[in-house]
Amino acid sequence: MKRLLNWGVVAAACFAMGCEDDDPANTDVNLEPPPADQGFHFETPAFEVAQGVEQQDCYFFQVPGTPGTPMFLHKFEVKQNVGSHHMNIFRVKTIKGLGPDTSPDRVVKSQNGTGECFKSPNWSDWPLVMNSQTDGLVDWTLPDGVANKFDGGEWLMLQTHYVNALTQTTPFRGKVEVNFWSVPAAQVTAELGTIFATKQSIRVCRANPTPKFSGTCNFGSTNPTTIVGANGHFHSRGKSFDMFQWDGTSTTEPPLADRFYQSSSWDEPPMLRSPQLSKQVPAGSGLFYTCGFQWQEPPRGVTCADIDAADKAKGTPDDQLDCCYTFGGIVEKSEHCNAFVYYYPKSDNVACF
Amino acid sequence: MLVAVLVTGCPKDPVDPCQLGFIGDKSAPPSIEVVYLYADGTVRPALEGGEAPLIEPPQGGRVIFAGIRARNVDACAATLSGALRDTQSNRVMLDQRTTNLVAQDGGSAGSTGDEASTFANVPVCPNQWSERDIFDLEYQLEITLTDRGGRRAMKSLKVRPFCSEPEASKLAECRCICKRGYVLGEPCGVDGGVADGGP
Repeated sequence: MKRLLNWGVVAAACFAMGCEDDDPANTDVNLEPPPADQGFHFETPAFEVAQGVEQQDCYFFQVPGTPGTPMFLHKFEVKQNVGSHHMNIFRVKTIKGLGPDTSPDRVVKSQNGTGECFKSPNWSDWPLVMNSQTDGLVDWTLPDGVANKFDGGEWLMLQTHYVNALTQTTPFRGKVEVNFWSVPAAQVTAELGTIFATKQSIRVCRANPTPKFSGTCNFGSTNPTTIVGANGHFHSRGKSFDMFQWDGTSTTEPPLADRFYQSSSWDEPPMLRSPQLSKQVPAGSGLFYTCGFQWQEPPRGVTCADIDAADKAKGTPDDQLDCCYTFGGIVEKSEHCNAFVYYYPKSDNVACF
Repeated sequence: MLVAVLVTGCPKDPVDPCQLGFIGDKSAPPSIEVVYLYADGTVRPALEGGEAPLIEPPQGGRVIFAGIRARNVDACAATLSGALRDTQSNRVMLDQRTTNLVAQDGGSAGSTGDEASTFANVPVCPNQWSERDIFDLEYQLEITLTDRGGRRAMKSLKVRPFCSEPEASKLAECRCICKRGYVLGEPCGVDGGVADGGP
């Protein structure tokens, strides 16, 4: 706790005066943008994340160029200040409660589970572009000839989630920078496709303390497919996240020999990517993923009464309240089971709910 | 360790926080009946050849909430698996979860309309897996319950999924994101995006 207080004092001073500390935990990230003819850059402003706050903001920005002029992105650099819980980028499609015109400054800010940037139906048909759950730099160059195709003027949404609470802390402040590097169309031989899959209605309860949830998602491809990126996302009750190559027709968990991703770290999960990950799977294949949980007492400062109140607000009757962590974006009080997968050649960007 | 056990006796089993325990007759084979959760919270039996409701869950898309009424099984930490299979391509979409079954009238245990997590949330739309519309055509629903003792019961039904939420915008979205050939993010207007109404 003393350490947290010290971080708080440092963060407040730095926010007011600026810092010249070399400690990455006390320094804003910085990425040199690509030359204008080799891509584009987006960055959020630095923002404070007060003690006890989960800040989730949705920033909107456009791919440079004019409609009808494609841009092929071959390399992504993502750099985040310490304390990031996740950063997801989506293509903007159907507008529900959230969009570029929701606010004049192109950002929708939400705190502690409240606000449109926390409501996942708002982006339920927005294809995944890129994600990172890693502090510091993620630098990913796609395999030769592979690129993600965008249209000039296309709207993208960057969602950043910073936590400064008990299970995760933000010692300084939040900030995200992203470089999108392009290649000429003539160099592209295959488009990148993405998968975003999530388990709904998950429930981790005292009386069912070690549940496991599994789901599937199909690449929808009639050709062999190569998986080149994967990472899983859950919160602190998460103990094991596995992804398997799947034949698209079986209803049982594939053999261990088909597992290509494994994580037991909820706060710094591995982000496998090419060249280390390059798994070719047959036509008609898909993804089988599982999340294993272990119920635990709430973190200090949160009580089972708080957890039950959140559950009750969703309509759960009193006789079903059991300190259950249910589906939601609040790290301290709820759980997720989300899979992010990148593959080529693209059949479509796929979402499995 | 052995000495300690001999001196103090075996440690007691920790108290099982799941109180319902075994339901029915341990000497009888396990049995299940399949039920659906509807958008209005009601739970109704699934019938061979009958309709299966497509419902919008919290994250978006459409799922079939397929549950069970079970007898002669351990109700605690049971594994419920639900899958919808396209009988033409044999492709399938699956949800599998560990759940505590809830006591029901008549001496059975199973899924409860109060809690969607006690149902398999079979994720079928967006339809990026079947080459046919999901709605108004025949598919196969496959439900398996395996209790923690390994007792297993299975049921397979021919069903006809349908967009069950009558509100115009939800109905249109359902018929759009569940149609064959749906592309993620394509506009789904009130016409449902169904161009030709074909199979």
